[in-house]
Amino acid sequence: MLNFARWQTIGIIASVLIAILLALPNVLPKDMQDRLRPYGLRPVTLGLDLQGGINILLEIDRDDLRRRLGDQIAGDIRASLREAKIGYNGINRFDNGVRVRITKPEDIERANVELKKLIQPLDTGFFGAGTQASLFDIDLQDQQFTFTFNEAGVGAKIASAISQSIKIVEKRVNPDGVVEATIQQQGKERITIQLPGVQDSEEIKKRLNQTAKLTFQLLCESQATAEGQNPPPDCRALPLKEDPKQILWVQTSSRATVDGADLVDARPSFDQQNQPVVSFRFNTKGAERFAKLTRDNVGKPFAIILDDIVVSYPRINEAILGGSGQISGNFTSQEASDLAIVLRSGALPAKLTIVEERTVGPSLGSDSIKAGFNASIIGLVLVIAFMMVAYGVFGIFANLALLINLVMLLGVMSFFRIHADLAGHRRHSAHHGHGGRLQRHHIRAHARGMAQRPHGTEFHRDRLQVGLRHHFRFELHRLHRRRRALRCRFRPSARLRHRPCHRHPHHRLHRLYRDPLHRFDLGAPGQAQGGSALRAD
Amino acid sequence: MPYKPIRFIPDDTKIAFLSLSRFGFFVSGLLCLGSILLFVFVGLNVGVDFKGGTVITIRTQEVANIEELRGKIDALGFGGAEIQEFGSPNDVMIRLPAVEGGDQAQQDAMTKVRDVLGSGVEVRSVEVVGPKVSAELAEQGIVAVVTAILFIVLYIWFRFEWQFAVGAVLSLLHDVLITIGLFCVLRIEFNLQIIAAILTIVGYSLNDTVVVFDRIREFLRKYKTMPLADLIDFSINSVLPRTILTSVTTMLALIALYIFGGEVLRGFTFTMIWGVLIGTYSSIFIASPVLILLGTTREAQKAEAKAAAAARP
Repeated sequence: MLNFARWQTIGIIASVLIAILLALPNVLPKDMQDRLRPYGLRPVTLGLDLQGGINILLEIDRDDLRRRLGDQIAGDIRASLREAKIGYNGINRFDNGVRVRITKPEDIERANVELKKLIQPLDTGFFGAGTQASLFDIDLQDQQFTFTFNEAGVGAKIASAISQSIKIVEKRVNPDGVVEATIQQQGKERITIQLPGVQDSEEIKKRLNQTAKLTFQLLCESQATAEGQNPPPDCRALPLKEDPKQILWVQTSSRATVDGADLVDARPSFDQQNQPVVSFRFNTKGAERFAKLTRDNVGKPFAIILDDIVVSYPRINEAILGGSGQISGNFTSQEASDLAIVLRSGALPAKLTIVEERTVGPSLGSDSIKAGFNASIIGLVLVIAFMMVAYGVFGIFANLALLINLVMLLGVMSFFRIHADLAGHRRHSAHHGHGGRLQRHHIRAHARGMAQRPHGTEFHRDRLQVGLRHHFRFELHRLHRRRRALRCRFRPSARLRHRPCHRHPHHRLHRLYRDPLHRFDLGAPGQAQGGSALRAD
Repeated sequence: MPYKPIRFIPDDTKIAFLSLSRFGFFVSGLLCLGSILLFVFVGLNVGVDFKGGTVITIRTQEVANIEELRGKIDALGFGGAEIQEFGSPNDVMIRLPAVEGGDQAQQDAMTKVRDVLGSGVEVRSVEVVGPKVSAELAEQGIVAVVTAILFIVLYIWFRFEWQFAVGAVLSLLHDVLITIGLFCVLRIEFNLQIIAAILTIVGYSLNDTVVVFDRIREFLRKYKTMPLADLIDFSINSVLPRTILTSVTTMLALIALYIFGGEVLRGFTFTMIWGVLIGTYSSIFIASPVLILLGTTREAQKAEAKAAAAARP
């Protein structure tokens, strides 16, 4: 005979009641669910196969990364030997590194010192101490230096490239922060992306396929007159976007180049002819370089190069001192807004390849829900009936236990989702009406007079910035309250326990608040109120 | 008088399972051998998860014209596209084999097929698995099944004696092999779902086996003079209602899922139904008779009892 002490009985009943409470939101109408949400009670979050959505697995292209690192070190070698005035003949790239031959034997010593400086060690360990590996090993054999990849160094580089890529990917797939996206590292060189509720994978994939390395380079003085000619030294042959057969020679010396890494903002807009273009703005360093490049080369054409394709090559009419400009190139407006998104997110350290993709349309998902629900009910009824037939009264007890088991399962699944979801809280709040409404309210409070002025001006930016800052400060307080209420009080999951309490929402908001790109994240000026952060319903 | 439950299995059931098991061994042995031969010479109908490729399911507005679709897609020149009805006459599943040229080529192929289908059809799901990932998934699938079985051996060995562990593993291998053989014959797509189902079968079959083993061990202590063969028969008969009724309830739920659960889950539920049948069979006709073949003795039991007694303060 089973004997339960009183406290055990109370405990059992209490846990059943709690489970029922936790599972309750699943059967309530929609508006009740929304009202319970702040208390941590919510229905089960459906998986991608039920809700519909996209699941993409990306892999970093090792070869591409090595090629880039090789190109980079080759450039560095050239620059440093030139600066030290050491004669060399030819820098050769080979599969596993770079070779350079020093012309005069008496320069070897100096060259050795200079070249050693190039292979700075990278941290491979977590705390910098101990294991340090440099990216290349240098080897000297009668006047020839050979740089070969050090596998440990490349591994460290891949690890950092992945974590860098994750941030960039997040900005690209979810530029407005309205989707509940999950982007995580998987294994050593992969990234998984889960986008529930998103249907069109093509658009997302287009943004991921580009590395978006943007440079501004001067065209060479002489251009090819016939096909198949070799470019002069310090020039590269690149295809033109409109007509890939047409090849342009562009200067590769660093003095003639400004890098897209110094961009702080990029927006789709329209030029005087009402053609879609992308407007961009440099940071101080980029602006200075850009100003110098344009001042010194007025009247000459320069090429705007994206991922080794010349997008366009306008003539420099006058020095561009303000650090902002436009990229034109016969874009459609979709292309322009995609380009703005990828430029804003920054260039990927290496190409990402899609190695797996699974998309479930919403109709298949809802069919699966319907079918699964029907099948479960029918199965449950059959089992319950059979138990009663086979075991009589005991069958009733067993069925009761079965039902409670189901409720508890549902309750636990619904409840644990809270913690998994906190990660997406800001996105949620922007998504689910309330936060979005507040955000709009706060921006509007600071936005008087905006409608009378043209879009994209300083005035606009300022007002929006002030409004958003107000809103974020408000959100921060709200999150603080919530966090204290929810997160620190009970954290039953072992996985979460070792994370510091204060880390998450706070941390993220601060980053948002500081990051200038997010401050302005109000969508395209061209689309009136359609700034996506404004439209957050 | 309260409601009287129906007894599906009479209390005094005495089936001579061990004498039946001679026949069972023979049939199972043949089936296993056949499965291995089928696997080697015919092979599985491996899905995109394990060999790479593209699967697109679409829904057309009118009844789908499969021949026309096939013409359109074959014109793209990828070769070997499989096009079949998927659940209803309006639903079509298109399977493209892996394309030469790696992951990017795979993506391009998928885009081309989508373009050819045009806007009249609704694309309900797309799966593209590149060559590298599929090879890894296949490897991981095999590793998963093998590790599961390996740890089960260790666990049973730890809880019972080695003869029991061998019996349990033989019955698990038997289940897995014959399931794979069945897939070779029926040409059902073998994908990640099926691996999940096989792992579940392994768990289910083991559960059944352990129940029988537990009873055997209990009776070994209780009836010290009963011959081993009789004892095993007696044990199996005494857990029979439990074994059968558990299987029946599981089956009821699975059959409901198979019929009403939609096309997506069908492969999984089919495997599970088959697994429950064969798992129940193997725990009775394979696992227990193996104990006799390997000559389980009471010596080990005694030694264990002594050790336990010594350990007690």
